[in-house]
Amino acid sequence: MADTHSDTGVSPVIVVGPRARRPCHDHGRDARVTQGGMPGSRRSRHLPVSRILLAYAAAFALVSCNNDKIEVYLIPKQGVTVAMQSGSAGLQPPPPSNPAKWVKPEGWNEQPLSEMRLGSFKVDGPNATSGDVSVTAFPGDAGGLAPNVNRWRSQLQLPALAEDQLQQSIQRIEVGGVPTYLVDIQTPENAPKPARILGAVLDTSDRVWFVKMTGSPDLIESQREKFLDFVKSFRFTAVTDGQAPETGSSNKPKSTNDK
Amino acid sequence: MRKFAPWFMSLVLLLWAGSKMLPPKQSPGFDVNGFGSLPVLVGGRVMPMDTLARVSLSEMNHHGTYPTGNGQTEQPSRGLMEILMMPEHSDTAKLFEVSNQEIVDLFGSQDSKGQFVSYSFDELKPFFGEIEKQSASAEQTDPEARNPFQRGIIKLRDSLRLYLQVKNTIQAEDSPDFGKELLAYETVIQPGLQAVRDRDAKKPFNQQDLERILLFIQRYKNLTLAKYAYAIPNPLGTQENDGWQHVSESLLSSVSGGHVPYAAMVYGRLISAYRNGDVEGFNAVIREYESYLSKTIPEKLNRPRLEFLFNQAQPFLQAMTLYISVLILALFSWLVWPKTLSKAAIILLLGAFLIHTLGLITRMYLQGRPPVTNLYSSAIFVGWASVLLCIVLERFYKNGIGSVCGAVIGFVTLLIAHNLQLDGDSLEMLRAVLDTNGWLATHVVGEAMGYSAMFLAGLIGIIFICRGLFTTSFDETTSKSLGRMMYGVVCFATLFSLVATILGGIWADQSWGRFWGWDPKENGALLIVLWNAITLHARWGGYARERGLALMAVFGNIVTSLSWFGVNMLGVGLHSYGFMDQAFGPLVAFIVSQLAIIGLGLIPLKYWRGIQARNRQSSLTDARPALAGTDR
Amino acid sequence: MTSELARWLKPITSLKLTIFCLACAMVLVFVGTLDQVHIGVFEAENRYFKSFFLFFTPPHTDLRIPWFPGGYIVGSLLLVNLIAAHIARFRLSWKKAGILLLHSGLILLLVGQLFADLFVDLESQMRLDQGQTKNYSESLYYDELAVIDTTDPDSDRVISIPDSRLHHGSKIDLPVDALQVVVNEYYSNSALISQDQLPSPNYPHLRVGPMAVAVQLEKTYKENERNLPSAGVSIFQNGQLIGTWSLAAGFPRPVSFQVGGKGYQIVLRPKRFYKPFAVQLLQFRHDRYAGTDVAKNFSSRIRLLDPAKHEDRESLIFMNNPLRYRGYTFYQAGFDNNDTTTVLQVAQNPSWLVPYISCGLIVVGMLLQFGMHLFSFVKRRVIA
Repeated sequence: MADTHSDTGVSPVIVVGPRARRPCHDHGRDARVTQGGMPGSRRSRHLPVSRILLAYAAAFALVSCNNDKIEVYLIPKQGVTVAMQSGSAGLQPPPPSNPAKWVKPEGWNEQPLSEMRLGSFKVDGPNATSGDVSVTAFPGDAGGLAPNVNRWRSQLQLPALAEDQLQQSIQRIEVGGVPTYLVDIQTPENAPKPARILGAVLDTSDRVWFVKMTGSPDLIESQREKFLDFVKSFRFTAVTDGQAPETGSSNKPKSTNDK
Repeated sequence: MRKFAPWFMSLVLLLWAGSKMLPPKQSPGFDVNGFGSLPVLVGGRVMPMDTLARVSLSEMNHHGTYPTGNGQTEQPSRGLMEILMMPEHSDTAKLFEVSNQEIVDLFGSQDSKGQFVSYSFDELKPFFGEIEKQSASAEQTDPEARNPFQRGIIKLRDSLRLYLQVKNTIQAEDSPDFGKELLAYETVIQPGLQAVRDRDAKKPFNQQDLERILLFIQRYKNLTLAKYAYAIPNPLGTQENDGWQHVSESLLSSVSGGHVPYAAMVYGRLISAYRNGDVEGFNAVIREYESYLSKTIPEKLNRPRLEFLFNQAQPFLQAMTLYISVLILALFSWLVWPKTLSKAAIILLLGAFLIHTLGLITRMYLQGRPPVTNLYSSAIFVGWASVLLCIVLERFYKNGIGSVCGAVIGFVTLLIAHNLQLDGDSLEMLRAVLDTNGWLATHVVGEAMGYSAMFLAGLIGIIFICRGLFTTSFDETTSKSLGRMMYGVVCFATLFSLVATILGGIWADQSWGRFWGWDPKENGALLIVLWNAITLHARWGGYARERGLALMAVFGNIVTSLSWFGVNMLGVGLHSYGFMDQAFGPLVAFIVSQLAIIGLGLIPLKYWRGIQARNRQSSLTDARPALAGTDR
Repeated sequence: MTSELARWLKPITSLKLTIFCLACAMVLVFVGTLDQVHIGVFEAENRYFKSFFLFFTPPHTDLRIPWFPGGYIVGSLLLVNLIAAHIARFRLSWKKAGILLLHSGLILLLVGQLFADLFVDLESQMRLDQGQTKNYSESLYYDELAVIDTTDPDSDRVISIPDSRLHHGSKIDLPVDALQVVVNEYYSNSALISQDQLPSPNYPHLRVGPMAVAVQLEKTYKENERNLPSAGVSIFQNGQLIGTWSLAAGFPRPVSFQVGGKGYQIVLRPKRFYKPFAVQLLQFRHDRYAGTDVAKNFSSRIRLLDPAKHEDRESLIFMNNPLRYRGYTFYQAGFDNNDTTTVLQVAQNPSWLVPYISCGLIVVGMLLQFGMHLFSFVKRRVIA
């Protein structure tokens, strides 16, 4: 036997016979008919609609209020607790973005800094050539001395050297008590575009600083003394918080959902 | 005798399929099977050499084969042996395939068969610089915006790089005899170490010894640049990441140990034997290594062995052939010998399903995961679940519809899977956010079961329309049971898709901080839920009866395919796991076909052959109009 | 129920309305998803789902003509329809239990999501370098012009002006100290370049640093890119010009100034949401599968510092395992700087339990409903 009536819950067995069961909503139509076909019922759809629209308008106003307000609030200075090891994120004058000071040599032009470059200079040389000086720093040991020097070597199309061979070409000095390694690399003899790199790697307690000057061999030669003076002028402020420089929030960080 | 005919027919076919799954007989000569089962760590998981062969070859050409010339191909493991141990041979094999005409123009056309032109490594060598240059500039463009030339040239460069890496998996490719080289290396280590110590202690040291060992060290340091597959097991390694080493690392670490590690030496000896054609020696070393592995790391040996057998057996390929046979039997059963053929069909369907299940379970065991982990496995599972549903349907209705549907869906999904397999290691490790068996087993599996049911309902809808329009076997019982089947399956689909979508939301809340983010995949799942809701409400409201239900079910096919594949092609959102532009054409073709069927279904009922036949039938018996129940 | 009320409710209870709304929802979801390719997920969400209408702007005009109902209308119509249908046909019976549960779960879900949308904090991120401590998170999409009163030695008063108020020529009166901010120039997205990279000296730009200038860019909708505005602003007090500065959100250095004996700073930066506690990153780990670059797990070991509640403890946040604290939830979302910086997603959703409850109701309801069907179906087949 089949069900002949149910409104929303229906058994899978369908009707028997030609007259399909009437869904319950038809009662509405029947009701209209028995009440003498009141015409108002068709128009009754409009009445609630306008009320609904009113409700929307109110909600709309509510929503648009939210996002445009000026907010005023208090925050404690020094971040939340003073007991924290590291410096706070509260609104003091911004922490120095690089806890190192240096003396800029004469004739070196300051360039815009970036998240990568804590110091950036352009040096004008003869014949409209120019040299570029960059100061960068990385936490920890930044991968080690040899890989970084070899990286510079590869930039000049030089082959990488093994650790012990490198040791022979690196000069070790001290700058403000910090062990510093100097390198001087030049492109090979027959290179189409001769270039030379003077590099200094300063190994402080919490990070490694890279000072690198790139340019034509002549320019570098003329600036060699200034470069050395610059490197020797580095002084590191006591950094107890172990903070890397504030890098801003708009790098392209990688998502943990990436392939 | 009549009773046994169906059993006889199906058993013959099943046995034939089963025989193809048995491990290949050991042919005289090099123990290719033994080599193929040796374990190696690639992509973070331990796999047999055979899988490494298959995956790397499928990166290079679309068949995933190693051609030996004159149209023949080698077993993948044998091809890998050539690459690993006789690189000068494999350099001449035409492994690399290019389909884009502009790339072919870069090299000057060689023999072109159809749209794919094959090249060997040697043939492409003069053009490496050009290939690198073109790839570098092609990479400047965003991946989604690249044209076929750019995609093709990057793919070619990547396959060439992969080939180079594979060549250097167990040896340095330029070594004339790596086994001999390792022996020489071993004699050099101790004196070399001594020389280094002496020099460091500022004592007089042997310059020659020092130079020799430095030379080897430099050589193996360069070799580390080619790291890809890690073949040397490190039984002392305690961490997961230490358990396997690349041959270069293993050789470098042997400096402190004083002698070359056993496994590295094993591979060296294998190489020597292979290059000298010493079959006996080769096979003996394989056996010796196998017994070493079973003593030291038995647990790392079993899975690769099983995977090797699994690769050879190709259960899904066999299941595909069987499904086609089921389809033929079932369709014929509607025309002739109904009882026998339909019984044979269902038995064969059960057999195919069994093989399908075995394949699925083996994959789960090999991966240690619930059945659906990537697009490939989702296709396998959707097919499996649909066939299961069809078997249940057939059990209740016994009208052959279940068999036909099971066969069609089983075949089509396995075909789709087969094409998806060419996209890398199908048993690949899961990235971090998917690393949770609980959600994989519930949300992902539930979603896949929802897909299965949707496609099944759609297929029944297609059968409804086709039988009604084109055949005369469309009596009321048939159309009613089709209607009921569709309704039941749609209910099933609604349940699973709604629950799975909700579970997905909860998973997202745990993972990404929000229950619903309007991400394309989430939207796709929502579309399925909404369409099911519309279908059910339309039916309950009487707006759609059997034909309406059929039409809506067929439209459900479109919604499901868009949700399953379409959203991956948008390249947007958190779910862009599979980037497949080659599938775009087939997807569009499928959607158009379904729309065409819906169009056919909208033809007024009085023109349907089946309805006309029914009218004629009933006008002979009764004056009642027979349009009831199928209206709308 | 009066017949008047019943007459009103009748059309709203109609099943046709349900189907119509569901179909509209499908259209919205489909078109919205396709449009995400062009305008990104966030923008599509705002236009299609968190809106009352879809608008169409004829070319060469500024008109916004609504042509299709948006997510809020469709959602609330469905809600009303569902509730009205149940009121009109209120019939408590076991047979209907499944449907009732299912629908009430749906109602709860929709209401909960609407509530979350309207009244709750936006998603934000907390980016921490190793060892760094922060007590605020930043918005991914919104920026603020913050005027900060730094006079008090113990606290700062932050006046945050949302970027929606910043346009070329806007005059904004601050609620304190009779200050007025006038925006002379505003680029909703900009890039920082060095002065000599300008195409010509007169090319419109803002001098934001000694050698750095900001030039205007088109707004980006790409997923991994953020709009970085720049602005040229002047501060007035009582009509007197205090100073004019150029600020860039891509290089947010607070500029200090004094006026009327008080110290202030002004900065353009991503909108900050301060928390009453702080989080410090101790270590971020990016575990990879052996021999590959494929990620196995990401985790951040953090320290939670809340002096008011005497909390100072460590916690581990990793994939699928967030930290819930004081109504906030922290998720592992990203990383940077060679695996030394972690990016945590911060969500504040007091109604986060609602989806779980409603899902439970829906699941139970569905199982009941379809279970009953299946049962009666099987019974019938067995008898037949």
